Amino acid sequence: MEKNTLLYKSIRQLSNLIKQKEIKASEVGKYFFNRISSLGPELNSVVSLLPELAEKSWNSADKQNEIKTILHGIPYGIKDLISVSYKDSGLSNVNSPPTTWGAKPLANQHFENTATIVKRLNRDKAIPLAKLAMVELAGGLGYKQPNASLTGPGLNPWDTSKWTGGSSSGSGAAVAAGLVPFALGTETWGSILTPAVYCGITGLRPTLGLVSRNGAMALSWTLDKIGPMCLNADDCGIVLDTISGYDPKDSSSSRKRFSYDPEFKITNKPKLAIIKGILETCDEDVKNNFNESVKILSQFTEIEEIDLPEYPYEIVTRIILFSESTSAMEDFIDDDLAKSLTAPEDRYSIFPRTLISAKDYIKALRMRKVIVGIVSNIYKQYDAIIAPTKPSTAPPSDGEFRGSVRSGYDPMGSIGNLTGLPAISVPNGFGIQDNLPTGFQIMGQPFSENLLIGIAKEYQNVTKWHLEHPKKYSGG
Amino acid sequence: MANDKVVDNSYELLKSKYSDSFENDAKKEIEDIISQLHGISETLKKYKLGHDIQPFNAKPLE
Repeated sequence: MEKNTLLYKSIRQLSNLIKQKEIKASEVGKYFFNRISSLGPELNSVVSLLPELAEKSWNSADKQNEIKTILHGIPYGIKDLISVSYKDSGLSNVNSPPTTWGAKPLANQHFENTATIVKRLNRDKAIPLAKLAMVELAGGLGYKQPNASLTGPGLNPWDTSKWTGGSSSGSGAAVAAGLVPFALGTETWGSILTPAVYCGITGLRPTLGLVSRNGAMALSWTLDKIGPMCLNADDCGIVLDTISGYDPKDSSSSRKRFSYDPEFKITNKPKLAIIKGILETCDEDVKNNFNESVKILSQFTEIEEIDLPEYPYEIVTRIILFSESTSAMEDFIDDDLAKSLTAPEDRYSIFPRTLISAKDYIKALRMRKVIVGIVSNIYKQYDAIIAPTKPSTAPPSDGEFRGSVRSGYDPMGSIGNLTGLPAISVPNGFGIQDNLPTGFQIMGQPFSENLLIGIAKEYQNVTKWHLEHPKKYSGG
Repeated sequence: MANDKVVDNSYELLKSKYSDSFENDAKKEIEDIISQLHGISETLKKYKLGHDIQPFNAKPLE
């Protein structure tokens, strides 16, 4: 079969081709490996390729006659804060790739164990191809500009003078450019949804505790999540089904099991809420595209505006993030490694955070409890909240995009991450001036991923934004 | 304490603890962050909570 026909195929489509023996897992793996090897560097999206592990994985997938999982033979990329060790992958004669956390001073950091989620993907015969670029230390030190990574700024496949968003920059670019069918991203506050929307792909931030973080860098133990970044919502469900599940190695891991239901049907119209005033900070194109999405969503959901009580959501999130990241990076600080980071502001911003008092951290954790109450009240009446994922399209890949402590008004991001809510970001159009992707997010109650994916799938069934790809990489 | 004094004292404290870790040319930026964090701390003070409101996730061991 013509290999080019693999490009921008969904996981489900690729899986069908493999199941029907129209193509071998090794052929799919080699096609995408060649693609990410040749095109990944120009987008600054790759930290290291995994040729030995990829080859071992596709050979193993080819050998297995009975195909038991939908991810069998599907290639993927791994954000480089998730560890991969060759030792426990049966490749003890080969040096393991580093896990750099995107940071120059950790360029040679190695871990003994492979992360739980990578083991789960390997168990299902998915093919790991590369460790993907990211903002240094997941952006946790206060970076203000895209050039904050050992691999340089993430370049957006839609326009390489623009940024991919962070911190899962390589994951966003690699999926958008068709270098991998899916990638793993992580989010503490915005790091899956932002690159997903800027790169025009579908990204899912799962409920806190649904996906094990064992083997991943900790930035904030009570905020960090790992999730899939894919071409569409169905693919997000497929990947989440494999990577989710209780893991005793992550003490925040939930015993609630997620089982993706691809046949999930929206029966009674779900009730969606829009926070009053949420569009005020948005660019005109983002507003217009969101309003168009609302019209489409209204065909199968009920949508109402709600008042969100005034409360310092962003401040509470920031104090918790700053306090926990300072603790998580204690060794990094003590080893005097910050001075070797790429972004100048990352070299000093962590130090003032050491001054945050225990009193303020505990106060923020108590206020978080109040916020949980506010959110619970909303979800007594509504199934989900919707909003533009970001108020603007991707900013330039050079220059500052925010200040050192406070970024803009972001109740969805702060509330969602503070209270561990799942959200999915879906492409919904383009900016008229810059032709860059826009998108909206659907944020639901804890463990409501099937509903969120169901709404997103329904939207993607009647729109084609998720099928648009950057011309340069789609051969268009 | 006045913001300026907090910033000055805090910067000196940081300098004494981490003297080799950051350059003096970042003084202005660090002072700006200290000032903003102080502002955040003052904002938090405005929100009064009853003693019954415990920290998020203050749960017994399973």
